[in-house]
Amino acid sequence: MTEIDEGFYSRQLYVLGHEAMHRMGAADVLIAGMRGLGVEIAKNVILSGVKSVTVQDEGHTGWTDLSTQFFLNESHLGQNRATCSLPQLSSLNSHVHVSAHPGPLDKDLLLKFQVVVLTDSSLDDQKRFADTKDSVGNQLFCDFGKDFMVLDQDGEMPASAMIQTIFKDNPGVVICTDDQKHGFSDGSKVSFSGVQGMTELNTRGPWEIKVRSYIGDISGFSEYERGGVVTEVKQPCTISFKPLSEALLDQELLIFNDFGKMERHKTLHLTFQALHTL
Amino acid sequence: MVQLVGSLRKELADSLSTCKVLVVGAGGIGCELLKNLVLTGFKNIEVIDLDTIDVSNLNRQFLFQKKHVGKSKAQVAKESALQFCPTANITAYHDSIMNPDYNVEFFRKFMLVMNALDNRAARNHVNRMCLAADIPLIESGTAGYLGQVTVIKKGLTECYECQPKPTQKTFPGCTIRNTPSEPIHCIVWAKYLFNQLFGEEDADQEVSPDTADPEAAWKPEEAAARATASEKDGDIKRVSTKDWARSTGYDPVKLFNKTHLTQTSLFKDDIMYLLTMDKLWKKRKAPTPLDWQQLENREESPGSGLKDQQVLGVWGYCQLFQHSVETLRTQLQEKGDGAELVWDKDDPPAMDFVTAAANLRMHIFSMNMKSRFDVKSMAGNIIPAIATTNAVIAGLIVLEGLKILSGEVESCRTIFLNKCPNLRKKLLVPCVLDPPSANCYVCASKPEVTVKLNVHKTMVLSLQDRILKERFGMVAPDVQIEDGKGTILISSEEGETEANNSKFLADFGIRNGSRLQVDDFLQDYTLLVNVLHTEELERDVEFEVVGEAPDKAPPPQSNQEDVNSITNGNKDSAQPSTSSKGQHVEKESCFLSFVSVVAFPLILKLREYNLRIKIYLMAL
Repeated sequence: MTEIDEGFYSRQLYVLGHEAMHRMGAADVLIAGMRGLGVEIAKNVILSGVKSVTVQDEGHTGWTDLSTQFFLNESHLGQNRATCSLPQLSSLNSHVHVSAHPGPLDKDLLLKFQVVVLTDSSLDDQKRFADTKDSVGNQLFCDFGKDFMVLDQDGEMPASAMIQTIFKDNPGVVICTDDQKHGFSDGSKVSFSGVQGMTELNTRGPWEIKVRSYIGDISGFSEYERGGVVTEVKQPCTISFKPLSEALLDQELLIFNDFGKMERHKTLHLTFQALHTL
Repeated sequence: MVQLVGSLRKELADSLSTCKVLVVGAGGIGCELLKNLVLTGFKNIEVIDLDTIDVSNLNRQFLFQKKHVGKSKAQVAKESALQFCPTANITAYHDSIMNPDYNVEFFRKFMLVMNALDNRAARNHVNRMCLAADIPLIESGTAGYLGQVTVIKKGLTECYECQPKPTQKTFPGCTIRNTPSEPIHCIVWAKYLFNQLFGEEDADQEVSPDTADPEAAWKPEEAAARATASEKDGDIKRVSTKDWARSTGYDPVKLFNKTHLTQTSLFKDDIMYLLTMDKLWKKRKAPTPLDWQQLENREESPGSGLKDQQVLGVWGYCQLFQHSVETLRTQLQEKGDGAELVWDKDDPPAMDFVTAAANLRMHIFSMNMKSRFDVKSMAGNIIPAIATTNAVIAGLIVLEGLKILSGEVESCRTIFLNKCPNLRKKLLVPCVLDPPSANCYVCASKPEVTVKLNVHKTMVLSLQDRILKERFGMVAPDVQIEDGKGTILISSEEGETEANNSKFLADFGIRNGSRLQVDDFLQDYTLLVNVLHTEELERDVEFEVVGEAPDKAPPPQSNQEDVNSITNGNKDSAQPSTSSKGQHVEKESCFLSFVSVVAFPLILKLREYNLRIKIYLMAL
């Protein structure tokens, strides 16, 4: 596991946490298309600190690129967009290895990455690659695969409370100090730490609780003496994503969710598809 | 350089290239904003920032690189932005926007002012300057995944100060000194201790047990008696914490434990003294004093994971306390006699000291100890930040700016960027701008407030510093008493009224019902202060603002649901402030939310298809 540069990432660590940063630090990312949108995404992803970023573009810099692609200028006209952007992208973050791929996108290339971002691809390409790979497309279509595990559903700090006493019983009863609401709910899972006396609690678990805090059979444990903290253990959940080709035909996408504009979402859905035929 | 002539009307594109705009702040939002402005075709940009570049900026302020650390943010941002558009005309000021050089005349030069600030004092000030100059202001802020952009136009919208903002949370002295119940109380105590030992001593930052705690005594007389007794004995009232520390030669063990009969120590004797105030512990868990010798070389399992993330054992924090005190003592000695250290969260020994002292106190008061990382977040009031949120917010600022320059201020919105999609599945939520509040003490035609205070106990200096500057955001107030004679109480001219500073308000005939006329010439702002005399203020409370004017009731509290949005990320409070007003979600909104996280670049990208997306853009 590589060390996180805590000085450099200080403010971001307070948003994402160390766990997420470590996972990001192991990810190889491909960003296809180095025009205005691609470079903006590449900039943000490189700053955030993944393991490597590869920018892919077969095209050459044209006049119209210059208004949005901030790392290209007139001297780059006619040259490959990805290669020309490379020096400036690399200098954003020395912890991230950045490389350019001026060649075409193909399946073999895609398979080298954990995350692929398509920004400038035709709908056919998007569908084709979506079938090989979990990818993120430029209408913000996210397909993280069939089994995407969410470790922390809300990003909030786990609830935690200090223990006043524990009754040795079946089910065991935990009384928390009552100066604050403990924030647990039925079905939450919790772990214990720093409990003196009934030290078995510190090493086992997590325990599923009911509020009024019964924790299962502990009648065989040692006597509780003092101290200890009870902390919520977040439970991962799995989300399944549909591939793009399926999702495009999915009526669910067309279920309207905004009473203010009954037809707008359908129009937009079709507009974006129509864009690809231009 | 190719400009956005394809997607902007010609008149708008022309006005972009001729109008002059001001960007206040070249940090997280400011860097992204400068990039967007030059790419959109703004040609005359002035940018001001008083800060220099720090390593912790580099992960999101992409106009800066390692080689720029220590240089002026405004200057480097200007140079980097010019590479995107060498023909732009950018002026950089390495200065505070609150400097009197930037007066109303200065603000009148601009068509538009954009705030990219991180603190409320500067936001308040720019708000007033823009109101005085009648220049539209775009206000913005981010904190983590959350962000907000809003537009302020005199007479048309609420100003930045129309809605009361939650003030920075302060803790009563006796909670910090006697009865901490949360880790933050111990962290505040540890920061006070740092200043008492190494920094500027401040009477408001006492760390020893507070013998006059009203809760501790059975009867008030007893408390007073106890307080005088202890002063007489000198058993708890140290001559000065710093002198005491100096007399021990900053010996960490002595500071920790015990040295002399008449002196006390931080983690043992002070705590034992607190235990004698038994009434405090009737309903609370009593603290447990620590003893260095007993703890010494206690076996502790080493923590795992990153250094900053570990929570050490008690002895681990004792050692950290020892090492940091020794390092700080050396630093102090190297600076020479009478030198002081200034606490800085990015200075490792200072941060170690607070981590160690706070954790030892947390342990004493049976709290869960915290890692250095967590302590730093609270002690340093760190606002979490990521590049993407700043990029989204900066994109939205430009879109609002384009509406203003098209003369369509009424179609401007305040836009919230949420962490999770709301019930309408929107991440970006636009809300209609509210009209100015008639009772606003800043933008109303004749601003007026009522302040409850004790005229016999409030000094002129605290009227100036605590009330007028801190609470009402003035920079250089002049105060005249409306007593028929026009007595000048405070003058912003140096040397005129300093003699008044340590006198009480009552000494100038100010009593219940007195009216003070307060002017800030720089802000072109006049406020009428009605004095409401009272003897019954809570302990540690100097004054209370009770309403705009005596004849107007305090504004009704809105009961709308607690919306999870921020008004502005800022360094004033550790938590993002929660918007007190509900979000008036507009029905006929918003193409924008669909565009979602990559709003600005995607809209620009659509232009590549030569679509007339501008119709949508303008209709946002």
